[in-house]
Amino acid sequence: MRVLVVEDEVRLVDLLRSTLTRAGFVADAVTTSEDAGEALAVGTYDVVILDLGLPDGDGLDLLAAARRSGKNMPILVLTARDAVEDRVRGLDAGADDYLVKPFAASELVSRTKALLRRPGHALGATLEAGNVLFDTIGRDVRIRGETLTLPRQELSVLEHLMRRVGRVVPKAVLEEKLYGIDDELASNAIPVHVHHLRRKLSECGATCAIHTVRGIGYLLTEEPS
Amino acid sequence: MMRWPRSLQAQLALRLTAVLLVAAVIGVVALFHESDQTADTLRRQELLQRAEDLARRVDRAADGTVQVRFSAELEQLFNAPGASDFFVLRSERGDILATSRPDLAVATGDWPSAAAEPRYTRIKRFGPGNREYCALSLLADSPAGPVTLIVARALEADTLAHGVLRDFVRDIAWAVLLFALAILAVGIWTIRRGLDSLRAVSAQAGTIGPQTTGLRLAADGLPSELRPLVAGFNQALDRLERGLILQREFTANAAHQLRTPLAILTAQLEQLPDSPSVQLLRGDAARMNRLVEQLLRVARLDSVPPSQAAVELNALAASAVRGLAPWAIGQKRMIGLDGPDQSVWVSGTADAVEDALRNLIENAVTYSPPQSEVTVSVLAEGAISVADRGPGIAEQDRQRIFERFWRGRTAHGQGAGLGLSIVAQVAAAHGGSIEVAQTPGGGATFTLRLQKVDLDAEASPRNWIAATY
Repeated sequence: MRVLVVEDEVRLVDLLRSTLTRAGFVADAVTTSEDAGEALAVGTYDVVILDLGLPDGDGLDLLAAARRSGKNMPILVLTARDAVEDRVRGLDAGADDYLVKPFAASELVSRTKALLRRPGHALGATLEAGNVLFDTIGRDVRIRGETLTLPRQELSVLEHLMRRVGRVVPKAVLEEKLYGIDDELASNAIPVHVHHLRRKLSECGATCAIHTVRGIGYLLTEEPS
Repeated sequence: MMRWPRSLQAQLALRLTAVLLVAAVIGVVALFHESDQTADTLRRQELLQRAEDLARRVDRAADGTVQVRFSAELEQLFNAPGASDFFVLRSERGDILATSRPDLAVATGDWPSAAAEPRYTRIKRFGPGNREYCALSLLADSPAGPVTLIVARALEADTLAHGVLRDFVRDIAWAVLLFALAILAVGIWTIRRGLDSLRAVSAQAGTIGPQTTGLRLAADGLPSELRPLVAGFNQALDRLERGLILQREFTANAAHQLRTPLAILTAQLEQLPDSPSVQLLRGDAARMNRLVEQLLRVARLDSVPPSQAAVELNALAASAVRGLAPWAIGQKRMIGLDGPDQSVWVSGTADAVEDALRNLIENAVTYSPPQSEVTVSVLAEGAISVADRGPGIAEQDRQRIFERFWRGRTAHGQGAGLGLSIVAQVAAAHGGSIEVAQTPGGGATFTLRLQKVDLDAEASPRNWIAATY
């Protein structure tokens, strides 16, 4: 997977590149808005990491220009400003996610992967969390090479949790996804599916776990094996 | 002492009334004086005529005594009981030759006497009852030789001046009153008209806040006296806006300047191979990150007081809990949210309130034991509570924990002592409060109370979760 890093702080660029490389990305880096424009015009990138504070122009302009020219890869914005209006402007201009400096490099990697896990992007076809692999096209789940057969409802819940590894997925969102499968949804449908999923995952020795955030939803985390 | 009324209208009314009263009094006094003078002149002429009349009637009798031959009119004037007039006839040497009032005649000896011309005088406090008299003395040649004739009249009987005054009060006073009312009405109307525009400007000024620093007061239609005030106010706003912009820029710049090196430091530490000292350094860097974060929040809160928009607490709490849940779960703590089914609106700035709530949750997660749940509850009365199962807060520390840079004796070196002061500052800026109590069964429960607003929002049972996703 190719990632373009647009960041003017040279030392940060070096660190980002080595972090991303170790996470399995091929990282190109540019330090100015102009170079970034050229790189985007010439190369094909799966994801862009864009710092908003560039020496030769606002990153937001670059972002808007890229979207206008039909670039639809996920763009993750880095910013040192965290006022709400800055975030909103970034998302309005077409950013898919933002990270406020200072951030942990591991957070950057997991956010980048989460963006790529969206349907239609590089990691969207086969989802991965710990030792669990989810083929979203063949609708099949493998743990340590063995297929785990799951009913459609549980597959749907697991898919959406895996697309957002490390982040809370609201219960209401999971319910919405199930309406297409079940006509009538019992109020405890999601907890029941999650309960079954947990049991099956742990029986198969999966190195990921589903946590409950009571009152909000669920969170899938990768556990150290 | 009565306090001077501060309203311009009242002041003008009071002062105009005073001016009118003084003018009326001066007018009355002048009129009284004038009519008194007129009456005096009339009396002088009357007394002179009388004296000349009397002088013609002075005669010497056959026995050599001097006598006055009274006409019926003079008889009535001088000799009627209770007559106010009397006369004294003196010889050249001052001897009394004749008088209508022997009891008063002697005392008239020291009255100023006439020279070539008749002399008119007023004598105060004379005779029984100390009455005021006016007197005319006249030198005359009579069949009895040269004589001095004094004709005097008691003044109380003279009512000309008083009559004029009475007439004046009856005929003119109501007009003065009418004028007074008219002047007051015109004054008040003028002031009201002038102040109407001032009220409009005041309403404009009321809409200027930290979020609307670009607004200026319009001077159109204002009385010229008020224009300098409005211009001065607008200039003060210009200066304040410049100051505010500078401060915001400073905050933003400081954020940028501090965060980028911290990001580099953090990333570099993450790349070093694990060792006890690297782990310590990572902890230090994390602390530094948090401290910078909190200092920036404090700076933001200091420079921009929160606007009074409406915030929905269920959505706000859900967003804060969602944001912090991965971290809390990474710390092996659980987190849960309770809330009423209906919306809870409070007045405030979402950013600031969420900052405060995040601080409370971070504290609770830090101080609660592993595997325990931090419970965030939205309360229908417009409050959020965060309950943990940690050691709790000792009774004597429950006030001081909200002070800036205060750290408890048991602090294990994570915080800078800013978190709770941020919460207290947010609460104060929103007209709310923050309090801490014991969680039933052990631990601390912090409750952030805000000002509830009643919006006619339809009950939206948890739809907000999808909306914020």
